[in-house]
Amino acid sequence: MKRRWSLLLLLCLLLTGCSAATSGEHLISAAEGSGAYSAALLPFLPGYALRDGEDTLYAEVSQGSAVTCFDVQAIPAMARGVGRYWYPHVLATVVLAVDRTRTDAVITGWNSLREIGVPVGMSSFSVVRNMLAMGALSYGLDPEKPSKRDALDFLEHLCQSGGFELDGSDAPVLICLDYEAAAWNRDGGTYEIIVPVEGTLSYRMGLLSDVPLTLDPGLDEALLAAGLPLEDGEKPSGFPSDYRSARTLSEEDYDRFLILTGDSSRDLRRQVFHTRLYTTADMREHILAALLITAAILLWKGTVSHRMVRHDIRRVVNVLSWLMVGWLLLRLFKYQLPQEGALCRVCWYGYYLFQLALPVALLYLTEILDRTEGEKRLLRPLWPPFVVYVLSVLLVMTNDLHQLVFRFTPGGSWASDYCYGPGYWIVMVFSLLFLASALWRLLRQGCQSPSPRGRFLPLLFCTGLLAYLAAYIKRVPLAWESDLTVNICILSVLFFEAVLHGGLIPVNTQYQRLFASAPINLTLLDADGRTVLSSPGARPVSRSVWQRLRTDMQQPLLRDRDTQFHAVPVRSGMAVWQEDLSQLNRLQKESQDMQTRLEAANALLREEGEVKKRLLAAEANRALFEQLDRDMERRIASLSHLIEALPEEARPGNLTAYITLCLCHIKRRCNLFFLARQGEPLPGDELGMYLDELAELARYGGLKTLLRCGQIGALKIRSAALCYDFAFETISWALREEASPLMGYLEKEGSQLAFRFLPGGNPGRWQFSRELTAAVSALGGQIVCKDLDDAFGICLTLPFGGESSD
Amino acid sequence: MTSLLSSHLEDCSTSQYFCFSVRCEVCGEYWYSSSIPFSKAAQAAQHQEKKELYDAIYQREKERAKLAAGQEARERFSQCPVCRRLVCDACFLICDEMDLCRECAARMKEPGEPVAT
Repeated sequence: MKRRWSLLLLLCLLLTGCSAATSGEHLISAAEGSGAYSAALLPFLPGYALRDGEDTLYAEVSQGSAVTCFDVQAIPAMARGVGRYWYPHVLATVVLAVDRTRTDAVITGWNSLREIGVPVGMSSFSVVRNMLAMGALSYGLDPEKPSKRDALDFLEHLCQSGGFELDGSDAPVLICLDYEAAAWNRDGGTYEIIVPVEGTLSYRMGLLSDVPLTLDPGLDEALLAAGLPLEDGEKPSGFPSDYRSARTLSEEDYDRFLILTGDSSRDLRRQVFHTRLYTTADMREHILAALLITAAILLWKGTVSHRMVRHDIRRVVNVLSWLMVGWLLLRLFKYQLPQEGALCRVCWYGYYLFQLALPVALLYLTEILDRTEGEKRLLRPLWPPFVVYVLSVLLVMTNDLHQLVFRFTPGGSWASDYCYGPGYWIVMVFSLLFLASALWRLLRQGCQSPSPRGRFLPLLFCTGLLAYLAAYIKRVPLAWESDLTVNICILSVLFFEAVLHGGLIPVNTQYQRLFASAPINLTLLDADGRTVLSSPGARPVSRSVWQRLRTDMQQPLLRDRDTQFHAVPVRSGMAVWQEDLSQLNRLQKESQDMQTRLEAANALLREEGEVKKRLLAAEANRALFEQLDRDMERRIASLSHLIEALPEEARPGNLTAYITLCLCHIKRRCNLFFLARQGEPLPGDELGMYLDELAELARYGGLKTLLRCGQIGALKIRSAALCYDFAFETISWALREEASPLMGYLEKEGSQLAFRFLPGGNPGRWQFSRELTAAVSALGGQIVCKDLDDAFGICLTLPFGGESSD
Repeated sequence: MTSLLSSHLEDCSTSQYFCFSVRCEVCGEYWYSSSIPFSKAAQAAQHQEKKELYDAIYQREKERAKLAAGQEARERFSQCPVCRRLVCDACFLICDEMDLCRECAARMKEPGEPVAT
């Protein structure tokens, strides 16, 4: 970047600061035709030296010189702050000088020129003289409403009828200043000086200076002696006597005059001579066109560089562009040099530095088209053209030493009077050879292109180039009169565009559309982090994010909680795409919410389960106790009656023993009740212990009891409870009936459990409780009383494993 | 402010470099500090036996990097005097009466220009 600015600064210095800043007291003869006036004036300006103008009139004045010029130059300049002192001395009138040796046509004024059919010329083609003549003509043709249009139409008519030349000093009729014609006559000329009867203008010629001038006396006499008419109207001999139709401009006329005569040179060329229709016609247009084309080339360079994918081709575009821009700017610089000096000539030679490089650059472009980028072997065939280019430039730049390229007389007017030497033709042949080679390669590659456009566009370009060359040779105005430099630049650009649009160069012109329609949020960043391309939905990548991505592209990066950046390196930058995490975040949040809700629901269900469990337990307890109450209610009620009857009992001992037996029974039944709820079996030993307890208590009542329990193993609670109840009821009956002794034996017989009692009395009148018999029947068992001849037996049988199958 | 920033700095460092981020509490965008490479990143991978030493160096450099990131963030973040939130320059407005975050300024109808766009 710094280098670019340095180059630009250098260019500005070259364009603006190269003029020599001369200072000192000089008399500058700026206005053409003022040589005699300056020569007459010089002796009256002590300390001043006569010098030709090296810069514009205004620059010379601002540098302290006294400049001879016309009032139409001086007065507007003073009004704009250039020059403070104006000394008019001479009155110059635009007249017609008719060479009577060549024509005897009757000429009285402007309009008579329309009919004589004799060539008319201007004595000079300088810009100022054109302005003076155009002003005089305009005022002459219509003194009330002078217009440039009338003057131009008049001159165009002259041009078409009899001929009109700008530099027509040998024409029979000349539009010139009166003192010039008088001087020609003094030198032997035979000019009739005619002041046009329609009217003309007289201009004051004098000195413009920034400092007051002190002129020695006797100037008027000297001027008259030099053949110059004085500003007050006094004229030397040889001038017409009647100047009534001539008028001078007043203060308020100058602005109008400048409007009338502005761009006179351009208008004369275009509207009178119909030349320069396709190129610039005056200095202002030269400068503006150069700047405009330069800007257009730089713009083109920017757009093409933007479209290019390959870096080597982008470099070619840069080189081409800078060559064209350099050429145009050098030409612009040369235009502004006031004299045809050595610097101007070096600039002229410098044109070839750029011009000769363009074919080489185009050749290089066609060479790299069908090669991959960075291919080394490409350099070898391009060495010869480059060496030839360097040698050609050296040959041209050293032309002053050998005159092989351009031949002109040293010290002469080289700009207009020169011819081409053999070096020029050699250089041009090589340059054209390179161009032809580039065109041939372009055509060949176009023919190999698979796309019709790739074949058509190179062909079209070559056809257009041939047409231009043919038109140039045939001097068709569009080709012949147009600017050759600009045309070469345009052709170079067209060459490149033909290659580009022919599809021979990979371009990225569709990337904009691709990005515009890309559903993914993608951004392309250059090496400096600037966005090159971006899809519509992509959010901008901040500087800090870019810096972090540049450090480590492997790690994705959060822009915010809903956007994540991913990056991959690309040439000279990176591609960044944005992943939208909002859906994922939303799903994650929903999942988290769902999990929270589920956890809460689970906790609620757990609590509900526990509550239900507690309720069920309470309910079960309640049911249990209700069942226990129902189970024990009859026994407790019976026990209560026995206890109430105890005081009236005759043998309270037996009743007390029976009550104790009942209490024991209730206790063990409660045990069995709860064991039944637990679902656990009752070991045979424990049942035996219960039975022993009953037998022990029965003994307190006087009943001799012997109960034995065989190896029966664990019993189901229900079977054990029935056996226990059976034993209790049997012992109770024996105690009440005093059926002592009582022997009982519990054993397992096959699949049956048998509990046998042998009481000491007859159990015939005894009835077991309905609950017991019902329970035994329900379990598939039975209670049987048997008469055993000398004893009675009571037997309870139950299925051992539970209910019987029948 | 420094302590507030320190508490908001999120560690995005890896074994190769140190980087910290701060999230604007208004727009939600993350700002990332300049990445500072770990001086022993290359050696640490080659010398596993010096792991303990390199870990210590890593922690020391990370602390320094965190301080630097805090200083860097201080130039880009401000604390809203009303809501006390940490906001980036794009969300912090220079108002006539008092500089505020964008949301507070909108709530109070205070016009202002953002510190940075």
